[in-house]
Amino acid sequence: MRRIFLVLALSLSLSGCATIQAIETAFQLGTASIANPVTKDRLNQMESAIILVFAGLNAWKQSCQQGLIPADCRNQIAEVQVYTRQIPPYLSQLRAFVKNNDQVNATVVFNNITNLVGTVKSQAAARGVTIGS
Amino acid sequence: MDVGAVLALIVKGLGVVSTLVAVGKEAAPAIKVLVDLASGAQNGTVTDDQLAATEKLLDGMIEDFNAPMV
Repeated sequence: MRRIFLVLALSLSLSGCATIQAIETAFQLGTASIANPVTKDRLNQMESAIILVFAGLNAWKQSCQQGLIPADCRNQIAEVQVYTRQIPPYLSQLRAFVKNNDQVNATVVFNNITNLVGTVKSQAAARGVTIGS
Repeated sequence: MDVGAVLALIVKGLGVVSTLVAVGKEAAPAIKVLVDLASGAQNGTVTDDQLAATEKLLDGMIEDFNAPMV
């Protein structure tokens, strides 16, 4: 019985890693610049990619809350939340800048969000959740 | 509209959806994102309504993850 539980737990854990890996590769939108402006289409693509990232993060959190993965996931998620909680204000700014076609500020904030999501990825990896190769 | 970037995102997103389904997680929001992306690419540009829907969905998902653990 104990062996079955361990196999199940490992399987779920590995599936979680695969989820995060797949999601991470979806978030490859490069950086913005004046030559590569943040249009409404690009904003929509970026936000769609971040939705896929958070689909994985929420699956991780749900698995943790259901006790399907080791209990230290609670602390790991809390540490990642330090970074994910910084994203909403940047998103609000980016949306306003894009809608007003303020490309200078939109570019800065777009790249800040991209860096922040990269930090989320590396912070999760540092806590044992493999993201990317 | 960078159709190549959208297609790449859809392909990667389908991998995400299949993994979410495999681990028994809610995949409907991710599927909706991909459908909207595909329709946006087909129409040539995203509409304000589509963008608003994407933003509403994203805000909800961020809020869910950022909420304290129960």
